[in-house]
Amino acid sequence: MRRLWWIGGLLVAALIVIVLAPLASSDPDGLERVAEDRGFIEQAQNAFYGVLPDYTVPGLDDAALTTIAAGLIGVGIVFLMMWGLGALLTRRRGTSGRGSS
Amino acid sequence: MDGGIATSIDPLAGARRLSQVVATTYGGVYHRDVVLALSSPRIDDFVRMFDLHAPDGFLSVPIALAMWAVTIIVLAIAVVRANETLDERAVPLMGVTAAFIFAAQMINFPVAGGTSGHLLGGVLAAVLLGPWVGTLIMASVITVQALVFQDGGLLALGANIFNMGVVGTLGGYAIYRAACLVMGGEERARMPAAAIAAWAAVMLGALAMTIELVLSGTSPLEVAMPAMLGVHALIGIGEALITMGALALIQVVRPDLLALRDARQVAVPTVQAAG
Repeated sequence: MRRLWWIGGLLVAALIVIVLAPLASSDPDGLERVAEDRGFIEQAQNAFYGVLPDYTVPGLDDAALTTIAAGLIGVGIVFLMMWGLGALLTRRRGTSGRGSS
Repeated sequence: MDGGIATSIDPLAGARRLSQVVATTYGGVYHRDVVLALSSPRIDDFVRMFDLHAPDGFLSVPIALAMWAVTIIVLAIAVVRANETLDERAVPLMGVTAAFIFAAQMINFPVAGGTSGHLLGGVLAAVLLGPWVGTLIMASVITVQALVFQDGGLLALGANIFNMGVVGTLGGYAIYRAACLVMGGEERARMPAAAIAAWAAVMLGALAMTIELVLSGTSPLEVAMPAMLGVHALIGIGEALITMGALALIQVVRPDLLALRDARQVAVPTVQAAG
């Protein structure tokens, strides 16, 4: 089981998203409100593309759920990306004759 | 339109223009940090809206391209060095560290005066996995934020990786090693050295961002420098606390993970000066 510690690490990251992200997003109207106050709301330019803009999942409307879902997707992406890169970096070296210690 | 206020001779015109540019572009991408930071409209827009995820339209095109070039070179070096030094057993820690930093960057913590900031994480990644692997982790997090979550511009991505993922990671790690040396070795000095390096890394990132803004003609030095460094001196305290907290957790639960950075002693990474 000691080799499966990374599951615990991943759970910590997931818990941060699940527990803290909805708390941090408790005031979702702040930007629009101030933008209106300061008269720059009509200047807002939409990004020319959007995948999960502003850490939300399109179609998921609940403010907490959509942030959590987007956050978990992001956590999963960077986790797999870095594990993959790490595997690639150590494998390439392994086959290039230097071997592993 | 970009605010149309550049003609003013008001001494604060630079800051206003900058905050307007920020507001415009951040408005466009619905930047999460701004949503949170603007909930308490007490201090100047310039300070409140600022974090280090620069949107497009913020840096001039030549500066943005120059930063892309610098970043690509550094990342190429990082891949080569990581290839030499990364131990197989450290690969899961790479994934977990990236996951933690991504999650933590979503959480804005309040600092004084209605300002908020979030973890960068470069020093944490470097202490765990070395400066080069740490740089790759930061680059992946910042790239995913830009490509998937529209957090930070694409043209500005090179600068964002440099400011948040390179200068603080390589420079912060150099400071960490120097602090460990001064305080009697890494075992004894890990926490205070990491705290000092984390704070300094945030300041280095803010300084790099400031220089790019000034060179881009977005804001005059005398306006941008005190505002950027002032607010990031506070955000850096949060960076130091979270970095220490994460290291303390690992030290208690799995202290063996702290040895993975140097598990493969093929080529010990030399301490790097900030770029």
